[in-house]
Amino acid sequence: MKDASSSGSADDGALLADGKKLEDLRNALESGKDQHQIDAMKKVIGYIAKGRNASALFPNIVKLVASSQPELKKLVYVYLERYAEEQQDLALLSISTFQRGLKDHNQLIRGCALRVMSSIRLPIISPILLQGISEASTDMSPYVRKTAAHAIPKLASIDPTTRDQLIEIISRLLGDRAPLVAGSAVLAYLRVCSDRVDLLHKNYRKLCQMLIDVDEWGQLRFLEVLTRYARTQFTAPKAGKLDFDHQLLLTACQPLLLSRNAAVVLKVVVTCQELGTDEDISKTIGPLMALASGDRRETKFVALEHVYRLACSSPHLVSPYLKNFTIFWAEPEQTALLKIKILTKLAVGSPGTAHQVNRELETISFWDKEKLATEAVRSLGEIATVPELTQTTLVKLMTLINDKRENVSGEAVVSIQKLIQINPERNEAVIKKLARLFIRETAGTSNAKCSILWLVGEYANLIPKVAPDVLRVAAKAFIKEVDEVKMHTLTLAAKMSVQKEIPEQVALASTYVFNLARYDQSYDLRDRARFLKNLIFGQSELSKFAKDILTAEKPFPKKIESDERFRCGTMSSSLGIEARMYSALPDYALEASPSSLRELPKPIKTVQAKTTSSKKTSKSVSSSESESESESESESEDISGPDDESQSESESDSCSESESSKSEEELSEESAFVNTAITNAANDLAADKLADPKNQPVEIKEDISDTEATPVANIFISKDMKISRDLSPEPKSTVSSISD
Amino acid sequence: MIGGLFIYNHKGEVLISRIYRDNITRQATDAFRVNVIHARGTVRSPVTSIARTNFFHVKRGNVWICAVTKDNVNAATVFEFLNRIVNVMQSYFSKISEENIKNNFVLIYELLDEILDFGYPQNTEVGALKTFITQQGIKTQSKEEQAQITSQVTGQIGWRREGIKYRRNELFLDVLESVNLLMSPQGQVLSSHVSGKVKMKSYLSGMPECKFGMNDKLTLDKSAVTRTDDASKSGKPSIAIDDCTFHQCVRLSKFEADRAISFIPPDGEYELMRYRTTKEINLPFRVIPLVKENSKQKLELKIVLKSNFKPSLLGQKIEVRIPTPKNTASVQLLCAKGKAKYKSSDNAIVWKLKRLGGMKESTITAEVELLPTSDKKKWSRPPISMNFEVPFAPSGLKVRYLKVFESKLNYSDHDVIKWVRYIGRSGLYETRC
Repeated sequence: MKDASSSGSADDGALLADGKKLEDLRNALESGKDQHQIDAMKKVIGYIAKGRNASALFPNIVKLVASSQPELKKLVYVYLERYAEEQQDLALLSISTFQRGLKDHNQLIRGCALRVMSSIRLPIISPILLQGISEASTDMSPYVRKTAAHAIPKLASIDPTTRDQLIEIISRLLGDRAPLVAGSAVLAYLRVCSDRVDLLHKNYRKLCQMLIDVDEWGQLRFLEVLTRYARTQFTAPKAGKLDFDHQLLLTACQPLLLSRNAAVVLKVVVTCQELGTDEDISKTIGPLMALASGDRRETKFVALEHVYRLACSSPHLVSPYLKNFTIFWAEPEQTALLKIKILTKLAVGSPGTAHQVNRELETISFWDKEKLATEAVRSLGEIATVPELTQTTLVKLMTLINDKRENVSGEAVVSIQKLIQINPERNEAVIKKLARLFIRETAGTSNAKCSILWLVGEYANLIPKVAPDVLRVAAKAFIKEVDEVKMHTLTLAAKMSVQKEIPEQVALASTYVFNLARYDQSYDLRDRARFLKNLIFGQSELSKFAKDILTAEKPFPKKIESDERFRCGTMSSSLGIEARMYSALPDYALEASPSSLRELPKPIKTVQAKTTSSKKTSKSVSSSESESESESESESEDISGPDDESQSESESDSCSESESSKSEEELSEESAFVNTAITNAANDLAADKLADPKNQPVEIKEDISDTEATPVANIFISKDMKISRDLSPEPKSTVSSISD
Repeated sequence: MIGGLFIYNHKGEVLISRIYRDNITRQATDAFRVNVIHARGTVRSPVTSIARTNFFHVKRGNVWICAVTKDNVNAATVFEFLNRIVNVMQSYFSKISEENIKNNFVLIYELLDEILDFGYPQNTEVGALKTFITQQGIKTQSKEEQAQITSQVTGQIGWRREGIKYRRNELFLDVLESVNLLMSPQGQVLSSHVSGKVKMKSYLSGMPECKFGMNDKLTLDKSAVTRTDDASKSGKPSIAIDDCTFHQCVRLSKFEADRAISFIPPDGEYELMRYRTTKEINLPFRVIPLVKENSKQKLELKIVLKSNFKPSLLGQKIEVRIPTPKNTASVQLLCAKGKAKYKSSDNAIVWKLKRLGGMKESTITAEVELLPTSDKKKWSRPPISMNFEVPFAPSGLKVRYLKVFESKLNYSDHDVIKWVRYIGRSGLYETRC
């Protein structure tokens, strides 16, 4: 913003220079006639859009905020958001209007007032804003509550001292049952206090169930928060067995694979990768492939990046879809390149596909698109590192070293160099062929030349007749070459000099090279020459080992997969550098947190199981709770805030009647502000009804086995303690059967 | 999340700039213009990082829409959001062009306020937005209208308002498919898939509940089990849908459970579902290339085009592009049907046929004379591509039914006039030669 104002000074002049225009606008704004004012405002916004500075009109415009015309009001809001920070004193004039707006009977205006007030970013008003948010968070309308949730991160960024109070509001909003609000509440949580896992315990299951009802952008945030929660609270899946709540999340997110929003689908894919078992991941492959072969260029690009990551980690999952990655001529280059990369990974990872991939890559290497062809050749080289495939691929690469396109042939040579290193003895003929290529001066790029020089130096003893010739040619061309090739020539000369019996010509050629290098322009090269000369011909202790040093066996270069560092789907991974605010995926917890933490305080639970098994469960639940009693106690105090029920709750068993009575109280309290919301009216009704029968004293056992229906969730515990939950959004009213 | 949003014209002039975060300065607009818009010819990745500021862009027509951020974001989210903005704008002023954006900037500002609060995407459903942001500016609403908005803004059915009335209840279904094919010179299918979408235009009164049925294999199999080989008796062909995605209005949990597609439709035009099939695709056309390189100066091409669908149907807007070497001197063309032309600027022969019936065959022969060149490299033989439009769905998808239930108003399924149309188009349709 600062930069904007400084750079705007020129534009400022531009607007002000036209003094008459400015005067006209000012007059129109002061005219008191709605239509004139609106027209003038539109013009002003037009200037802003073009990047001109219209701050001179601030005093005239700020007055209009009190206008009763909604259209005018909106325009003024746009203006204020842009300039309030620069002219803080004047902007304060508008605050009282917003405060009035917060009490308006129209929910849209209430929401709008709060949104604009939080967007104008004046540190001075943070107490007023905090109060506004606090009030709005208990508003009747979900729309206003949503806006309140949105305002929280804004306030937190203006005034960090309010964080504690804000967290309190967030914890209240997280408990909200309107999907509209929940999406924004989770956003606030994510931005302000993503370390406060304790706020989530009680809401975890509810959030999982809500997932499908939240709007698509909310779904993305939900998945992010829930993934983090799951990673920190559950242990890594062992042999396909998952914690009940862990499974709950995975089951809940899978329907979203059918979402129209590509981002949601991809997020689910990532979630399954980060949390799920192989089985879960395999379910996501199909939808992922659909995006990767879709017709929207940008989405396709991102999806292919996902596929690439997957192909690196588990190629067997991707290989059945091999055909999807054949490359079209008319395809944009960046997706084609990604496809080549994917194909390569597949061929390396699951050799069954290698034959097909090789053929495809070979076709592309002949194409008239140099970048693709080069990449294809490089990929062939990578595939060839798989031992079973080395020889067949090598043959193909050999045909390419004579290619007329320098880059392609050069790349082929570089690839071959790497391959020879794996098994030099067997490939003596290939080395000779490359050496001959060099002697005939047909090795295309300098990269290729470097590769050949290095190879010859390294395996000079395998080709005693050709090697000196290479040195001769290299020495002759020395002055014309680029630094890199010079460096390699020097190394070759050094390596040749330490051979056992060297012919005179070689010695002469080496000396020649050393001398040239000594007076070269590049000081790097001069230094290297001096160093090598002293090492080989000097009298020091080290010189005895010169041969060992220079001809030591070099390990095969390992490719470093740098892409693995970042979480899949993030921009950081897309760019390969860490972006601001990137947060790594937490590791799985070593010990899972007790599931009682996540048990809802209301006992509307259903258990469909034999009494014998339910006995077992009730025991285990209580035992696990006793372990964590102290912990859960403190946390529940944190969360429940105003209604001090937590004490009684933590004392009681998981399914006792005191809890049920609490639930009713809570429900009624909650419904006080929710019941106007049309969305939840039905839900609430059902819940209220349901709470009734619970009031009657019931034994624990019966409670577990008999209560049948829930509006929100049915939990059933099967024999082997594997717990799953049915996700049915519609309330089933089997209430009558219970009361009977 | 998103730090700012810019809209440029093709020259790189800023039409709209909206900045949400302090860390994005107005200089960012210049950075994008210089590095992306003015960098002609070079490949533009949709994500660009300039001095640790990251730009995501989409281009529609000659307008660039660009989101800027410094934070770590989900790339797919940003693109999805940009696409959504495009949709929203299109529904407000049909075509996205410089002219339209200039004329509607106030509206765009309002929209951005609503759908991107402090850089976080929010409700982007056009139906909901249209209730409170209109092109005529905000009307002072009556009590009822306000109540309506309330239910729409807050409710679960954000895409439809209550109290819609039509004299004629009508709905239009368009099944649009694009066939992608890659064929080897030997006539072997290397890769093929159909990506299709079902578009719907609905003009229905009230809050109707719709059920959509198609000849999806899984659905039919399921019902066949329950209704004792009903589907197999009728012998209707069914297709295997690899995967599909739905509009927000479709109840996903229901589809997950029993593959039933039920929904309350938005009013007007929208995309109900997208799907993809890869098996048993009826490829409408087949290109059989024959290339003879007689000598260094001469090339003979013979391309046979075969249509492979019912004789009663007509394929339209057929265009075959046959690439030629760069050093082509002259081309002699001979074709029985349609018009063919050599375009030296594209290095290709373009053969156009207005229409071609099913199960027909047409041939074009070309003699290409080449200039002698110093370039000894062999001609790389790019693939032959083609475009077409056919009046059926190449995947074999058929709409079985679309039932409308509206319990409150007195019209039944029979009173609704329904139209179905199938269009198959070419996506990337290439034959290597």
